Amino acid sequence: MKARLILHFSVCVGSFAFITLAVEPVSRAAELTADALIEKYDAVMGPENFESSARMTAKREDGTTRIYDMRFVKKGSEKFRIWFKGPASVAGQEVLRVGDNSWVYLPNLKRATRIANRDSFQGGDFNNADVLRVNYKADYTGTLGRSEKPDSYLLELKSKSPNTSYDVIKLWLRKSDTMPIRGEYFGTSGKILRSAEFSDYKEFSKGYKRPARVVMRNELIKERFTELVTQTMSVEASFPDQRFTLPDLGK
Amino acid sequence: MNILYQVAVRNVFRNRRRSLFTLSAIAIGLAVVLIITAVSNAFYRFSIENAVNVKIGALQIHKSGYLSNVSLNQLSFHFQYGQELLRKVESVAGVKAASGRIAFRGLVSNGRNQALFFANGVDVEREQKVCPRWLGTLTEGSQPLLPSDTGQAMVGQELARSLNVAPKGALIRSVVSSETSQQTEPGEFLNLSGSSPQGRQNAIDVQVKATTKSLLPLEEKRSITLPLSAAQSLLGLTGEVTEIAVAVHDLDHLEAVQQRLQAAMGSEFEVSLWSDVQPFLRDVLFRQKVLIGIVSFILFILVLFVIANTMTMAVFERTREIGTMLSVGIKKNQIQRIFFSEAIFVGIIGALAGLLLGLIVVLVLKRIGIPFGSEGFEEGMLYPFLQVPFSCAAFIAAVFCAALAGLFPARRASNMNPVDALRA
Amino acid sequence: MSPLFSMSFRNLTRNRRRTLLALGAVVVGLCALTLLRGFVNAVRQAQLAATLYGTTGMLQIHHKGYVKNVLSNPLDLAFEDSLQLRKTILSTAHVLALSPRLQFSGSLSATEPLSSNPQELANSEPKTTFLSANAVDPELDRKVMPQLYEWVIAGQVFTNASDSAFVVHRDIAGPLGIDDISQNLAQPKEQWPVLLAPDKEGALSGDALQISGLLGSAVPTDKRLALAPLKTIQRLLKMENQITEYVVRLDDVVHAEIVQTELTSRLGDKFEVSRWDELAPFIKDLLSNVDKIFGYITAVFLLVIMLGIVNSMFMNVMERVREIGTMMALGIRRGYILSLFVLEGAFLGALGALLGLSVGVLIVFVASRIGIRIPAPGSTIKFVLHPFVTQKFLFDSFVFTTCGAAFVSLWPAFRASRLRPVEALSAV
Repeated sequence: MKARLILHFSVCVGSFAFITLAVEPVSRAAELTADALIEKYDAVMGPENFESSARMTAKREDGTTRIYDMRFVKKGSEKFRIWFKGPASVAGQEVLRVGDNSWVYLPNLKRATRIANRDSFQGGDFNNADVLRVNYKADYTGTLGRSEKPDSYLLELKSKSPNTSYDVIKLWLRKSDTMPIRGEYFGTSGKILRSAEFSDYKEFSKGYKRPARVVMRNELIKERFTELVTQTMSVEASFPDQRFTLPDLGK
Repeated sequence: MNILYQVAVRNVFRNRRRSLFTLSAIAIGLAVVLIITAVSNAFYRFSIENAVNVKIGALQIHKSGYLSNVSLNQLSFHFQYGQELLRKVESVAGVKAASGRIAFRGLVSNGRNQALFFANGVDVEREQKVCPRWLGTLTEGSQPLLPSDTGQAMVGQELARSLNVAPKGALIRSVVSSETSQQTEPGEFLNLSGSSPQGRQNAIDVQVKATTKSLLPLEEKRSITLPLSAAQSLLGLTGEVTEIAVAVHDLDHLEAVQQRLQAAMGSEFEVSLWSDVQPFLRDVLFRQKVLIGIVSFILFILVLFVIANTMTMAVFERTREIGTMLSVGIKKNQIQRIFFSEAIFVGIIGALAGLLLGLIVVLVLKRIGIPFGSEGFEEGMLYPFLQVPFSCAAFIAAVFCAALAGLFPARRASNMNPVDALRA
Repeated sequence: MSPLFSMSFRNLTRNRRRTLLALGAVVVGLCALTLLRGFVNAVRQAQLAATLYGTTGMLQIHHKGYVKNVLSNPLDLAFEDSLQLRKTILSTAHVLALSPRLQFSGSLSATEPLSSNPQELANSEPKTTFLSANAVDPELDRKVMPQLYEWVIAGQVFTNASDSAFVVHRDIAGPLGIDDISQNLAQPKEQWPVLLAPDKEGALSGDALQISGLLGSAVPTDKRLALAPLKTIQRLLKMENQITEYVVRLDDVVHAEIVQTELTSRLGDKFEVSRWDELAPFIKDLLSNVDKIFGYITAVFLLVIMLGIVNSMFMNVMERVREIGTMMALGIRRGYILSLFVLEGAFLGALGALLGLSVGVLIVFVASRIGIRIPAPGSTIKFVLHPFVTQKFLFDSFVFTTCGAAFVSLWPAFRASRLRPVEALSAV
């Protein structure tokens, strides 16, 4: 009797394991929902807290190029801080963003002062970086569309509130690992304003993979684009709030 | 008493030529003063209207704090715009018309280059009523914006040239591109990008319907005018404006209208005079007003002098006559009274004639207008006009002057020894 | 001819009262005309001076393409300020002085309280504004643009091109809370407002500067115009020795066109030379409007004066009807009588003009010495008028009055010559 029970139990467990194993590839092959994709994207491109170092190359329509080396730190959706390492003219400068307000720290003055308008910062090189500001789950509703690119999802995001930079965003994500491939960013008129190409997928830390290279293009003036190459990134670090205050800048 | 007056009147008619003479001096003098003042008034009014009717509007309504703001985005002072608000504004006594606008800035591009621009989104149909000259000066080949336009714009000519765009009908030489050394035909479309007060980015394409000329270099390099609806949709401000321009019936009572309008709008809004918005113009025009005042005053004195001169001479001419009257036994004060009455009589008739002449000429000029243009830019007409208090004051002054001027020589002559007087 | 002249002159002196009265109209008229002209000239001059010495200067020299530039960053069109270049400009005929300037834009931020609470930071009100400024060397600039420095209504302009000070418009300083100059000057460096400006490549630089003075409004430019020290800004923007323009002062603005041509040929095609009226066409328009309208008014004045003369001459003739009869009876020709009266008229005009203009000139001179202050409503700058008249004006007025008087005297003189001797003799 006992032996039959054990056999029965093992067969159950075995078949269960077998069924699960057999079922797994099927469920992986099943399509993810729009909401799930958004969550994945947010987790990859805009983790809650992170620290990273990157090189940004800005190319302008007059042919000139500027290269910035930076270190970023983010906490939550409101607090953001950048250290500039290069070029020499901006080395030592820092930028702090809390909410909608931004300040720049000038090493020669050892002081922080408010920046009036993001768009004019560093010659407008940074306004393409709007595409990096993510928290799509809170601000957008997603639907899946038909993607003409092979093996990819097309996620169409429509803005939920008038406070977002873009009205509609189209994201193409790889089916295999939901890594973003391309993004298109539209204004309320329907005109495409920016586009982003994602590439160079790297695993920066355990279980955290993301595109290391993003090329952001101004679709209104195609000669103007910015490339961001992330060198290191860590999502475990957590910084105290105090690091996001004016007195802390410069330290 | 009566007899003296009769004598006075008969004296006037007796020597037709002399009376006519003195009369005409008074009449022409007064008429000249009235005409000059009327023309000066017209010029001053023209200067204000030039300022007011082209871009600013006699009064402007904004949300409180708009004009003194330097830090915040101007767009954050937007407010709702609709039939209700317009009705409220236009129902205030003295208001002729109102029109909403959005003033904003952004980047304009032709696909290859971009530049900063300052723009006004205007309610084309209403703007025409508030600022009849709002179109400014358009270049050849340009077409003005119409109420039916939705995606068209007027662009400053330097801006258009730099971005190599032109209205379809314009005969523009194609530009040789500095990079490719190729001739490129000017394009017809531009892209305007801007953001909403909350940060939403947007861009629209506009067709360049007109290029504008201006005496202000900044306007030629940076200004764009487009329909309100286009601006509203670009900036995510549907149904909103940042400014309402108001035209009034009578520019002379502007401040009263301002106060009434401010009371009607409430403390949430601020109603400003055109001179608050453009203090430089106000200063220039004030100086002009002072100068015109000085001119009128000097002219007035001059005319009074001529009148006095004429009267004095006329009376001195009659010294013998006075001598005769004295020797006949007429008393000094009677003589003086006769001459004074004569002077007043002639004065009144002369002044009336002058008033009539002056008013007729002014009315005729008001009808046909005096063409006045400057350097081919702002063409306009001067419409002379007079204010009643001034005309009355001038009339009284002329009569007074004539009377006094007639009296003093009479006094002098009547104080003379009759023998000497007879011999003059 | 000679007796004619002396006779008409003596006729005038014969009846003093009549002559004086007739003269009076002319004198008053011409005096008034002189005052009018003086005032108009003063206003025009003041307006022009504000432009030539405060806004645009007489001539400006830029890198070619700067003035009409729309697309490029203006700093891209900067050029090297060299002694050689300065010498070339200063050695040109009629050039008195030059001032190197660097025009740039940036933002000014007033100091905010240092908060350790990020939440407070998120909700804080910005105290920052955009502005455009001219970086100048005050020693040189004062010689070229003296009027600009009179528009400082509080504090003063920095004295040295390397100072750490700044002058902004009162309407900008107010909202930012930095309009109390004495307070500004007392603050330690950590509290000074910061000027942020992008350099040529667009990289942001900043420096802390004291607001040492405030500008009032006297110019039609935006309230966002400011003054900064040249060397300090050049250092900030990493554009040592570079400027965007030279502002040039001439001995007299009438030479502007010749100097413009000369400088253009000397400097070559890398540069462009612009006159004040090309830089501020709306001022030129304003001035020509003033000229036009007062041209009309002057004409009317002269008309009235002529009227006065006609008047007098008619009275003159009427009074002397018997005398004319006598003259005719004695055999004097009609033509002679006509000429006699015309000459009397001419003399009257000439004498009246002389006296009137003299008195007018005297008053204008006194007024010019004192200076007439026109208070403008609301404006912070007082306009001081210095009336003046030109020699040309005096000469033209004199000639016109004399000839005009002679001309208008033709009518009464004609009437006089047409008198019938018998009737004339029996007139009373």
